[in-house]
Amino acid sequence: MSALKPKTLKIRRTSIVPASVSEHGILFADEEGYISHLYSSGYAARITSPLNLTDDNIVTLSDVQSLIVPRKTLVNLGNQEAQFAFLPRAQARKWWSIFAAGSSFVPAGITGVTTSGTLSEDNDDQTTSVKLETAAAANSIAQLYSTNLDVAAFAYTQLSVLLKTGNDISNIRILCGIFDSTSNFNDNIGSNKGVYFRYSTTANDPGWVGIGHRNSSSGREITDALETIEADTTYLLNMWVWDDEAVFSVNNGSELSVSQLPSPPVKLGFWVVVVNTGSAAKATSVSRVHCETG
Amino acid sequence: MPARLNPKILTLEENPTSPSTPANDDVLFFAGSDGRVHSRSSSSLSDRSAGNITIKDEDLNVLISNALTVKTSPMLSPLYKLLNSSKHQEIWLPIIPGVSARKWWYINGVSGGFAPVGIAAPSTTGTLGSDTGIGATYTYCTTAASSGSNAGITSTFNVVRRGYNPLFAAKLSASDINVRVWVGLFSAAPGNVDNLGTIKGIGFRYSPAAGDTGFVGVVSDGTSQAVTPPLSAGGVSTFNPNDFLEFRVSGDTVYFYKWGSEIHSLNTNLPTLTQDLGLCVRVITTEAVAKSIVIANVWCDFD
Repeated sequence: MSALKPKTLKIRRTSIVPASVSEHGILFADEEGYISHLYSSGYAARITSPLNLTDDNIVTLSDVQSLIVPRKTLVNLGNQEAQFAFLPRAQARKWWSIFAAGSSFVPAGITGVTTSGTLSEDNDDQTTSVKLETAAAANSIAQLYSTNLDVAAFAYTQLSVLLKTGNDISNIRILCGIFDSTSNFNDNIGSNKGVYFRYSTTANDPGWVGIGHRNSSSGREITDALETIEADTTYLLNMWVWDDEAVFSVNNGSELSVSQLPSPPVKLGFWVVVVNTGSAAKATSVSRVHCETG
Repeated sequence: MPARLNPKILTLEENPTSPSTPANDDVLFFAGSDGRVHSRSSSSLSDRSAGNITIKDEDLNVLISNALTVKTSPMLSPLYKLLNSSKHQEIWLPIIPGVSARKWWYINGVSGGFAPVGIAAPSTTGTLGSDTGIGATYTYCTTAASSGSNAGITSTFNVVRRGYNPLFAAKLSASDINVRVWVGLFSAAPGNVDNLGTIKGIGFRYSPAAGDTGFVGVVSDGTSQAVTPPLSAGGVSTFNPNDFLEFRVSGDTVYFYKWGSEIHSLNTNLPTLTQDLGLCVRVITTEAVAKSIVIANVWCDFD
């Protein structure tokens, strides 16, 4: 399955410096199956030594294999390095989505979703959303989750959630990610397992943080703040889970990772829960959820 | 239907300077400052030659900027492949249509069942169950323990036609001993046979009884059948849904892939352009032992 892992490669230039910035870089598979890098100027060759990528993202291509590069992700960053990312084609992926529509959620590729709390349409000038609102009571919750908690696995899972905070983010806890159970919505999910985003005022989170929770209070790892959080603000939460690492980002910003992950195979489901840790009702609106696995 | 929406393979001619040591040469694409596609052959990483390439298929407007961005029609997903197909003689450049520009349907094997998107729920045979691998959860279908029984999924047999240039993909695995496995688009569900007979279709077969050492591509016009060499030797995979099978119809040719490579093609005995086809993914046991097929997901997009 690893051939379908989304990945980003950085191809660093060799010591041969192009004569001018107008030169063009190319990538190709050499005879030994390694990606090589070539600069040309006026079609005169400047050929470097083969690049043997030494990190986990090594990609070897035989002379009959294919390199698939989607979108405009092949970028010449200037004199220092070239960078490109490639993602599996939609046709090759196992995926599911949840869309906000009106005052309810529509699943695609999974059999159903379950909600609690008060749901209402919360469309704005950016997108459609459904507001999940708790009762005005401490420890009340509002939530959206996949009815079956077996729609994802830990490894090779990519999750993207577009949500908007409510107008009051005091005394609140928001958990959003993939979990093996929806039974524990505390700051520490105890014996449950999950890889998720959290913002919790009771945990004094400085903003959105990413968490890998293996199976116990001690078996977990929390990132630094990925992004500060404000009321009435839309956030794009992205999470990639590899073999032994989960990478989090918010609004396509800096990536932070954790390695305290449950050992696969473990069945998981999507869950976003808003916990009222004060008294006034709390809300979070969800626009869309997209998950790719396998 | 605009031809630009069809999956297609462009054949780019090599530059006229013949490499002196062909066995060692690679052919490269690169972006010229004029925005045109250029090629260069290299041997042992030394420059060999340079020259422009003529793109023969004018239906596809490929522009490559200096920043190495491949731009295709806005209606196409800018996905492309660079493939040295036959030792520097030619390079194929398949352009895969963007999902947003095509009709499509998708079936996800999940939660012990199958969740359809863009298509009615498939009919199932056999006993269904849920399994979890390292990378995903998925659904398996198991036959009865009687020779000839089958397990898998089918749609109605009118959800796509060859004339719509379908791109079909399935990720799966199956028992590999004493089985027949059929995967693809057919006019009716294939039975416990190696030859489709009167059934028209395009798909994959794995049948050790027919001598298959891996999945083979199969097409049938209802009278005669054509078969590719095996896409991968060594049988089918029984570990996780680890076979990613794909075929693309482009006019009068069908290209078969496994994991995006290992291309074989067929251009005879295809179903007619207007033949209604439907999905079948199934395993058939050829002994009195239950066999399973694991189905992670099935995809089809078309004009």
